[in-house]
Amino acid sequence: MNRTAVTLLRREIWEHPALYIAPLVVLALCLVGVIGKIGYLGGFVEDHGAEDVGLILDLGVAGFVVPFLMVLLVVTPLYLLDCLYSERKDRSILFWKSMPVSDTSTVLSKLAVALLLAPLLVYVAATATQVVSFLIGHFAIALSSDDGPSLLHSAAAVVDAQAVLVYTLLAVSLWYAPVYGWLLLVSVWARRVPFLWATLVPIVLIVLEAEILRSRHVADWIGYRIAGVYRTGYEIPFWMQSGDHDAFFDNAPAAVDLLAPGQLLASTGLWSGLALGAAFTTGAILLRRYRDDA
Amino acid sequence: MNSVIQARNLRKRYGATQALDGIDLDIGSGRIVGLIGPNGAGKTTALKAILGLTSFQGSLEVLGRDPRRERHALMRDICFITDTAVIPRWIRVRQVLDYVAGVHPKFDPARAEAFLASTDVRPKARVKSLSKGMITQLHLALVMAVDARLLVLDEPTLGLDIIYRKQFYATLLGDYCDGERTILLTTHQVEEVEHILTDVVFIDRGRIVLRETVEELAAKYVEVMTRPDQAAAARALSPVFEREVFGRPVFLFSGVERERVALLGDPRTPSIADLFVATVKRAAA
Repeated sequence: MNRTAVTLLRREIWEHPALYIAPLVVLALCLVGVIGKIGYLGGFVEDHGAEDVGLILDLGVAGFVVPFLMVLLVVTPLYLLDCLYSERKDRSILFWKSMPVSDTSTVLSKLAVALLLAPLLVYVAATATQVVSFLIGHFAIALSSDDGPSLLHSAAAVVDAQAVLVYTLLAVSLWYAPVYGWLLLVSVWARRVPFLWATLVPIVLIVLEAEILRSRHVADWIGYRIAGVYRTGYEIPFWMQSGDHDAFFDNAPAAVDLLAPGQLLASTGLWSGLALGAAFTTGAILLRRYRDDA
Repeated sequence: MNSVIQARNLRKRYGATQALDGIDLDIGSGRIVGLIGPNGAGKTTALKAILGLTSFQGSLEVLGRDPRRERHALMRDICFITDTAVIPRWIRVRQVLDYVAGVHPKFDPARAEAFLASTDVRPKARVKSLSKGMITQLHLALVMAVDARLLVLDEPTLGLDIIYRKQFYATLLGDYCDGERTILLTTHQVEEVEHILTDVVFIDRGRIVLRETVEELAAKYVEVMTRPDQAAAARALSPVFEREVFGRPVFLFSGVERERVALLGDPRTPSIADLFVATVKRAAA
């Protein structure tokens, strides 16, 4: 990466420290939760045996992806709505434009924060959470029994948890490219209350369609753009959906089995979304470049 | 003389107002040009066009480039300070310097730091904690540390007290101008920049109404205050403008020899401000 790109990304973190503070807060909350529950682990091991508790623990470590994904999906949209709006609100846009940085580089740097930097910061915090809670958990099991899961299995579980984490952050970020592009466009365009514009336009479209055409294509389409990745990118095996405990332990499940990258890459939804995201981003670049009232 | 700015028939309309109504302008390197005009005359619009921040009709070349298409490339050789280009309040001084050093190939951070060391602006301070004068010093530190060819200043000292204003122009003249760099500036406090300008351009209602070098001005224009009973004699020399100061008539002549004017009173070179008022009022009449 060249120096300008690095500088543009650093500048975004200076202005939006929530990009790293929010994942750190989730990290702290998760660890507080883990340490708070550690007292119960001895009882579980007595009831269910160290091996099964170890297996659940290994799967549970992968489960930390959920709170971290949630924080990513709160922080990133708020960032995108603000990033090109605030430079007009605080009238610093002409200062930024007095620098030899093109509008394309500027807007792409904001998109790169959403697609790369924010997921990366979440990844680092989530990995730290995984590793620390894995060590704490297995240490606690080892204290109460000699008979935990094999080290090999546990090491594989950490790799699994990493795969789930990386895959989820990548898949979700790419799937949301059109949403991110839309938020960038609103951020450049809105004179005030960008949040309202970003949500009002789709809501008005949904209501108009329902009233006039008595159909719900827009609502379905937006729903697909928001929830589609969790159906397309993951495959929940039947024995997990059935809640059959014996089947669970018989299969000695690995979290990585839930991922369906092939299905995601083969879906038209992913690629049409990326194209739409590119179109919105291009719109944002052109608008920032040509609008006069800055 | 290398051409820095070359504008031909520059036009720009905002709704019903013609902000620029056919501006022709040539500025060579090393000139310090004051763009002077009343509010709404089109000064800021002209500067925005030159900086590639607004669309316009007509042809315009700045340092050999089209500012509409090549703003970001142009910004390697142009600096600008305007009261509308605000350094964001959330940023720290240190971060401003790091940012500019990271994106600007012609920025020398050591120079900016050396300049700031002579002020009260601390590197760790956030911009929001700085006074307006200190923010201008920060801006000036950036400008001084960029090896630019053109500096555009739009009301750079607006809202500053007299000490900061004096310092600002003293620094500019003492450390910045090297005979190669060109400065284009607008200000309402004409008397403060008068002594540093090499050229003046008067602009009114989107048109250039006067364009002279400062030497030409001194040679061409002469002003005299007379007794009321000499007014008729003065008018016989066909003054370009007439006003009254403390009940005594003051006449402005263009291209009249000083010796003839001296018969009426003490001849003096008019200030740019007086000349501007005369030119604009005459154009309106």
